[in-house]
Amino acid sequence: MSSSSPLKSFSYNKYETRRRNPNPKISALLVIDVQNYFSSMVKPILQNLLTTIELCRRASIPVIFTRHRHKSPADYGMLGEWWDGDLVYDGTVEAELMPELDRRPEDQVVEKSTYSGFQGTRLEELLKERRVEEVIVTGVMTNLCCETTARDAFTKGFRVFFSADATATADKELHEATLKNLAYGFAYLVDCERLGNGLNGN
Amino acid sequence: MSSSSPLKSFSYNKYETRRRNPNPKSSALLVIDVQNYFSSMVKPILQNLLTTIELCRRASIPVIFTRHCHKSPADYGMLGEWCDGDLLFDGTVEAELMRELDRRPEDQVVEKSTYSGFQGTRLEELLKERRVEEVIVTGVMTNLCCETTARDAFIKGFRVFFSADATATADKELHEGTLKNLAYGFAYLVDCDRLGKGLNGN
Repeated sequence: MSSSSPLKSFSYNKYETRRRNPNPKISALLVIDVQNYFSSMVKPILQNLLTTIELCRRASIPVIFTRHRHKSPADYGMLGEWWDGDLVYDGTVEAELMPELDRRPEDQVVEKSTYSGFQGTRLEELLKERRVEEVIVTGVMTNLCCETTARDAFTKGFRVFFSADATATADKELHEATLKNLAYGFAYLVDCERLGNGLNGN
Repeated sequence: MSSSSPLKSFSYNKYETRRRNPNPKSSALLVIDVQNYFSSMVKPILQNLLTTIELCRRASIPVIFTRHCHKSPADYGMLGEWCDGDLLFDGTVEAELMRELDRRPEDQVVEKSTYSGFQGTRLEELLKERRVEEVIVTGVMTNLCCETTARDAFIKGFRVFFSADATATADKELHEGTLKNLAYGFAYLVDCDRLGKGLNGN
């Protein structure tokens, strides 16, 4: 791993005791909630996100997007109380996936109404139908939807890879807290550089 | 909240923007994986754990224990790979719940084989049968089973309370990482002091 890797100089490095590359034949890329509502959070990682998607496509890894949206109070769950009604509502421009994303007709979009991409959705079946055993997690927000989806994937038996540079959240401290805990118990950390080296047979 | 509360002087305080007490009529206490295998991790919080259990019993809050145990390679999931086979095997002394726990015949014990107390268990049904809407999470390990169970509870629609002083993990940094993220997105933080006041009508 070259010395310019962003993964080398962070507080979570000491928790990263395991290293592995995704296996393109059995992986899927999850791009979590990259919606207009989160655009200011996404902008700093947009290039990394697009690079990650591109690297995965080149390795023929299917790309699955999630889209968080509420259709009625029946689906608010605890999010209504927690966020004081400041939710992402279906049918609004904010709820749409960002136009800057490289999306293709064959990419699945999984709609969800809570943090985990698995809860109340067909994501698990979709992955199993495609014989996917590994997921690579990107998108927003690192410590909410990305981390909960990653933990859920692990407990459901998937091998989890988590992008340190194509995820983002409200602040650096929370982002790093997620990476520490995921590196410790759940996920192999990756970034654009490792994927660039690891997915293309280097 | 008294000035001696352990919750007042930590890195996660700034993320604690919400405060609430459990409602004894609709709560359940979850005591996660307090097994011999984890006894050295539990010892420093044992008194807080026992105090928390006692406070809940006084308020007639049902107590549910989880016990992590593997019965065969079929249930290892990703834990076999992640923990290099160093797992908790059913039928061993290490897999038994610690004797020091105040356990009663009417307390349910939920057996699990991955981090979340909900995955592959009847925990959700058990709680719904009892009309439980809120869970108070205690036990070990803060950032693995406790946090994953707490996140799972939230996405399944339960209101979550998380004990800052009756949970423990391998190191303080990871413990605080969990408390920051849970305070931010998932759970009302509690401790013995807050429960002492909040559950008994003060």
